[in-house]
Amino acid sequence: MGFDQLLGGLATVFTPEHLLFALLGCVLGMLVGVLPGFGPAAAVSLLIPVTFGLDATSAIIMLAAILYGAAYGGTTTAVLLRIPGEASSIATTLDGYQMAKKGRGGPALVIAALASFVGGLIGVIGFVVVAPFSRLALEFGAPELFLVSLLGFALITSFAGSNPAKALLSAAAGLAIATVGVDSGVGIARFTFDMPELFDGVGLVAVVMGVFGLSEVLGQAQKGPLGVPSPLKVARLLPTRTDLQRSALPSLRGSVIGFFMGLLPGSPGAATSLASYAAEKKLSRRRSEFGKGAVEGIAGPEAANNALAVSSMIPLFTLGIPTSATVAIMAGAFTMNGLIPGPLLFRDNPDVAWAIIASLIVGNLILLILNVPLARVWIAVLKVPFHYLMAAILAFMFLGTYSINGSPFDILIMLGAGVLGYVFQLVKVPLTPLVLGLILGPMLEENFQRSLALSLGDYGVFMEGPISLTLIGVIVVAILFGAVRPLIASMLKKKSHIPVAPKELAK
Amino acid sequence: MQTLNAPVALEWTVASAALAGGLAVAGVGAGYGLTNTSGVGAGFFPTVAGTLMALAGVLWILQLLAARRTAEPVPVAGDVRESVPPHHESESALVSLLDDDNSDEPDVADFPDHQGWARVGIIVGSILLAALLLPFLGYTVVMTLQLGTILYFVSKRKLWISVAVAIGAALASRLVFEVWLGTALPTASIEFLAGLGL
Repeated sequence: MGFDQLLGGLATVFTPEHLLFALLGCVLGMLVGVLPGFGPAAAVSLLIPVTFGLDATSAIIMLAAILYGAAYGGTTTAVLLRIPGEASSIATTLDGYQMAKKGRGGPALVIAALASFVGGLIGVIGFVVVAPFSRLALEFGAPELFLVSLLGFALITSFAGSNPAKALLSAAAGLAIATVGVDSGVGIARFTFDMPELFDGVGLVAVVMGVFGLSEVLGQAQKGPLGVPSPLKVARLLPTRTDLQRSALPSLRGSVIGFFMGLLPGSPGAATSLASYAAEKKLSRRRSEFGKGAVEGIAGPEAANNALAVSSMIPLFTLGIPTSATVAIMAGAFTMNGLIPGPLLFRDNPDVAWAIIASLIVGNLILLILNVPLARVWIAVLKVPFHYLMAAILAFMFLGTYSINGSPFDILIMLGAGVLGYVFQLVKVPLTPLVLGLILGPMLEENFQRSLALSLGDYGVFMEGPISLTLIGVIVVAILFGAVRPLIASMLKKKSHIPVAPKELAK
Repeated sequence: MQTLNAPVALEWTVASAALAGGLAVAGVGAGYGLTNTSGVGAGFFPTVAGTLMALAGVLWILQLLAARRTAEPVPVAGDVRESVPPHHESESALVSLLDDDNSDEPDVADFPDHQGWARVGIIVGSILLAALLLPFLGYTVVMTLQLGTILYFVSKRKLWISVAVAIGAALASRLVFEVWLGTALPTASIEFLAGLGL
């Protein structure tokens, strides 16, 4: 197993330089994560330019820390403001806010941080157990790699949003954008309109910043000045021994639920935290306390969230397939730093790969040590009037995009992507498939072309061998499931009589 | 004749644009060549992507037509099922799993009113102008104008506050990027401004 390599990775991360970048990442991620509407995907996409100029390991360590910091920023606002930073924090809002109302905001945050750490740790242990299987993927040739990319594409499109047509549109748009530039096969310039800036294709960072960052700013701006409620006081910080005892088992159970849910396509965060909440409510002897400030209702979902955040990286590291928007952005960051996400990462850059995995633990540890005592500071960010924050974010995005290539053209790309993302949000077209199409598009095309070149144009090359046939079978099932999923969901909704958290959510 | 409300009209517009755009991408893509001697040509993938876009547009239009035929007057139509974020209406974890919008997705925005559109338009316009004017006016002037515009017109701050904050932010960000991060920011190509070090 890979525990020796994990120790090596920890040794790499435990250098002053890497720890500093992890710390900086956590702080920046928290600062953006506490802003209403800015979840981890938006935070990471906004802050990618901060990592320009760093070496690959430092850059990815910092981005992973930004990811965790932003997620924990969402938890802080969920507990103290009743504003979940992202959908997966909704379950934490239910009991966390109630605890804070009773003057126990500090213990709620500490329990959330401890449970997150447990979830992250168990997620990493699972990661280490699974990682060696990535060697199997090294046996894949171009046809299998094409089918794996196609599988990722089919899975995320099938599981994104609740309208298959809109998910397909988003994915196809991403795929179309990915074809801009000089074709790698025969060298024909496609959709470049004789503009040299487009010969290398549309810049991923500019698109991601636009789609997830600018669209969010536009969405906030359309609402006018935002009124953020006054945060509740953190008061006493440390939880009681009873709190710790009561949260131990829920943290473990939540971690296991989160780990396995994270392996599913789409890495459904909200469903995972609600599933963990439901499990704890069912198993608890204090069922009546749920929704009124039960620590189990915080520990389970928070552990599940964090285990999911780690395990959702497994498909990226083992197969090179991102399964959610955040992971897709991370995949883009890997590529920008010259790293190929997937099994080749373990073969060609094992030190980097294990350092990144180890940084997932370290990031959690930093958050645990640093962020709970500083909760008041993060909340103070929200007291800065939003129009100044918005102006600062826009200036940062403008500068960040410009600094990619030192060209105003990237700003125009970011702007176009932002407007597209904003319109897509208005008509409820999911954004994840678009980014995924952009990332997986070149992989799909390259491996497709290579396969057919090797087989001299024989399409049967995609159906040779059990691996290919299995992959095709799974792709077909994924597409069919995606098509009928809305129907199943609406049928279940009519039949479902198991209330998980509707009463609490309705409050 | 039934009139469309703004959200449904936008859905029709985007679906139609997807259909038209998809056909255009497929058509232009096919022109690059679908095949070559070693397999597929440079136009194969653009054609596939365009066709999928057009197909998605057709499916969406069919949904809108079906919704129009079956729906009673509904305030927010189009995809009525989606009018509430799924995680807010889920009644069980299984339903939530099946009906979950990807949790990374931003929250669904409310539909803007006239003022909302104006605010969005001003931000988009200011970024567009700033990007186009950057090579001529340089970073400091462009950023001051952009931030000042947004603070004054979008955030409705007083003029002097907008100007003061915009100048301060532009100078401070220039200092941070050039001195701390070592990123060279563009200066004005207009002689007068360049002479002032902007």
